[in-house]
Amino acid sequence: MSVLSVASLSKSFGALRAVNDVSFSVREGEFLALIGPNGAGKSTCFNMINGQLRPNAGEIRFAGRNIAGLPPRAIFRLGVGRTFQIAATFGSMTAIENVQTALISHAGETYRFWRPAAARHRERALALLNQVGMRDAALRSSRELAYGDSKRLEFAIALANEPRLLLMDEPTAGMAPRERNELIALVKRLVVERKISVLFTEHSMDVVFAFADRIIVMARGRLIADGDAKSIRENPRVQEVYFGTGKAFEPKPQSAR
Amino acid sequence: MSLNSLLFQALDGLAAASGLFFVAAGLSLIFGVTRIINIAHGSLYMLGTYVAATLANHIGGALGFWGGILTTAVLIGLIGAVIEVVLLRRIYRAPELFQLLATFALVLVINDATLWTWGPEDVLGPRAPGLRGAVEVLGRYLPSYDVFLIAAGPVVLIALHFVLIRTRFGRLIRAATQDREMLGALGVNQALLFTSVFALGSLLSGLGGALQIAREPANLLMDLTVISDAFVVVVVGGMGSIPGAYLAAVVIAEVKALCISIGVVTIAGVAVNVSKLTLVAEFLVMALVLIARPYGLLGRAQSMVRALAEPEDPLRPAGPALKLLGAAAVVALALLPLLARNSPYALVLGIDVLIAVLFAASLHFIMGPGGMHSFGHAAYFGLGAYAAALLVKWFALSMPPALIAAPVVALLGAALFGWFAVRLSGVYLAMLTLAFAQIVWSIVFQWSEVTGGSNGVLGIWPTAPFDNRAALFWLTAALTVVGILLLRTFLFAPFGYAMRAGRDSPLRAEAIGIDVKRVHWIGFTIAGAVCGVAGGVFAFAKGSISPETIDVSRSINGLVMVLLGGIQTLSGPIVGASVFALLQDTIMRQTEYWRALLGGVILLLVLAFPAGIVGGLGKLGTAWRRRP
Repeated sequence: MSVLSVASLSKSFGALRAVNDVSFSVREGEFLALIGPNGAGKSTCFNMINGQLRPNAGEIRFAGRNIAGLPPRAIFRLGVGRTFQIAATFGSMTAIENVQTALISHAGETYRFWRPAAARHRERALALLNQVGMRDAALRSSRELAYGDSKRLEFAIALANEPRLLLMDEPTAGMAPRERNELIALVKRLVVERKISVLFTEHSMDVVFAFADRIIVMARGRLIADGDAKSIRENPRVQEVYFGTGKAFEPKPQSAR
Repeated sequence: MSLNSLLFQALDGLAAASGLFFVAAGLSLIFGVTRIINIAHGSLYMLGTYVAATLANHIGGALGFWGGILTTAVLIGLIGAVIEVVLLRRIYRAPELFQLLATFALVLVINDATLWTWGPEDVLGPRAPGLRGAVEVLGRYLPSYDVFLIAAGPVVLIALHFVLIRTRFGRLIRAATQDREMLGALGVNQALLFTSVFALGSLLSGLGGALQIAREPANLLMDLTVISDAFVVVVVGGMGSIPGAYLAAVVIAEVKALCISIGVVTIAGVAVNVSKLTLVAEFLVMALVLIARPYGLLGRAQSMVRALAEPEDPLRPAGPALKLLGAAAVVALALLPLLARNSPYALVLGIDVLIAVLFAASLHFIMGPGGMHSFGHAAYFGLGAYAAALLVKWFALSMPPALIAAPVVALLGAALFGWFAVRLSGVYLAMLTLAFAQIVWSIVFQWSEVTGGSNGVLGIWPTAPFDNRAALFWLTAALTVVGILLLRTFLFAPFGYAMRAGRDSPLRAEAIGIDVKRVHWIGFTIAGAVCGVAGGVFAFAKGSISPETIDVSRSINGLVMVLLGGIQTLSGPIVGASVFALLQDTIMRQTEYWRALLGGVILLLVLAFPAGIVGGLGKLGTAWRRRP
């Protein structure tokens, strides 16, 4: 059964068809990678699913309803968590307060004016921080965190609404290779435990081929391949968009002298 | 009204538009490159008018007039460069609003320097040699000088456009407007660029002022009038867009001209004097433009300025020391009326300080944790004050119900204006709030049948049991303490966290289900209501109110108080407002030149404590604890 299904999704900017009739689905508990060269339309596609962009045409069905055009906050309420390419946390708060703010919002308590926020959902926030290995940093200001730790914190925030689907835009961008594998291994472990489906974009092929259950590939706004790591690796169209046809490396025909 | 008179007014409007354009273009250039909102820009314009009028009168003839105007423009440009080098260069890394505080201090200093040099009398310039006559247009006479001004606007526009498009200097200006950090990374000498842009902008302002000498006398009120007009023009035209500034100047001048020529019209049996709308016309235009096109007519979305200022520390609940200090302050407030039996003035001053504190605390609530820099907080103060006063005057209400009505009316006003304001951010939000405040001011000023117009409302005295100084002081103290504690509680509650979340990262806040606009709107409304309490108490404390109590300077004073104390701390506005109110009081009684003194003190504080008084003390404390 699919958690998210995207059908005939399209988006144009002026004359540019950034996303052109794209359809795919994310199955229950699946770790699905969306890859493609720069300018393929990954981010546009991603931003339509998370509500930042409104599609020109097509449907995005999550948990049985069409979420295309809903604002990000409504999509969060339906049970979608997300992380950003550049970690976005609340810089004037401690790590635990970041998570508490998300938990408060999830519990529908944003418009409460009396009891301090610091006293709310504290145990749950600590438990989440513990799961991403950030318990010791709970009381540190989030803007003081190292970048890798910010990413972990963001992951804890994204888990706060007990999502059925997690959208991760380049989760390991800007991280050292070792940190990168640790973070993805952590994500994979937690989502498997919680049966969360994940859709992520990624530039690091090591990460994609090592962790993704299935891979879809976009190029020039279209979906060109869909399959497991092995079939994607051997797919000639994928090789072509990533490496060219190879003709560039062939000796040039000698021109007449 | 005939078509001819309409066209004639339109021509007059074009002449006015040129002057407006010169100032606005300079302001826009300076903002685009340095990101400084230079409030002192209007002061340079005023200075230009004074200097040019003096030169023309003393030297005389065509040389004195035309040569004087050019000399003045260059001189004002040089003064601008000196200001940039001596003062502004030191505070580019300070929070954006802190720079505003510094330029406001300059306004005060320049105003008093002008008063000292030229005295309080208006200075009248001669008529323009060679352009004394008039041209017959449409059966009326248009002064030749106006024809000259009509042409001068487009000429300067084209010249500026040429400089910006064709020259290396212009390319640097445009590049810095888009991304000054990148420009710095490319090895461009930013200090030199900033200084020269500041000089060019000041020169334009000085030129605009100098050209006015044949139209209006130089006076000491010009600085603030001109700067608010120029802000409106820049915002309507789009920040950083020179053609936009000209277009906006024309639109606004024409709308005003139209209002004058229409005069009184009868709509559904009610006579409406449209010409009275001139005071509010430009702000209505601005409000409409910003609602329809949030970045002005020809403006583009502002590029993100990477935050240069230090980010804020997490909020900590009051520790035992702060709690003790707070309790001591409350006890001191309770005892003051008993201790000050023999000095009634202490209580009068005390009430003033308390009102300022409540006003500043409510402004800080949206400025600090909400990140909404309101330039028109006086509106809610005024709504509260006038609500209370008018209910007493027209419905003979007693004090308690009038004081309850004050925050309610302010809340409604803030809810209405805030709904629009939270849709914008940064400078645009600041200017829209200023526009709303000016609209409130104009309504109060012009609806004299109800509000008493410029005379205001008199005889709003407290009723028993608050009809003595001590009781009124206790009431004010109680309301202030409760107000501050309420705001503080909200900030520590989930709502306050949501408000800060929306400020820190709107993207992340929306992604965890927070409706940032709605949260900020509610915050804006709460701040308005609390500010209304301060206004209501003010009306009773003074016994009378006039439009002066809600004009731009009160809004700016509020900003100064918050920034003075430190925007990043919760106790900042309390300290800032107290210091400001006391300084104003002590300095005002010492000297005729209190503005310059106040400005000097603010400048000193800005240079010595770029994080505000409380922030500065906090840093000192940290350094002390970390000493080896």
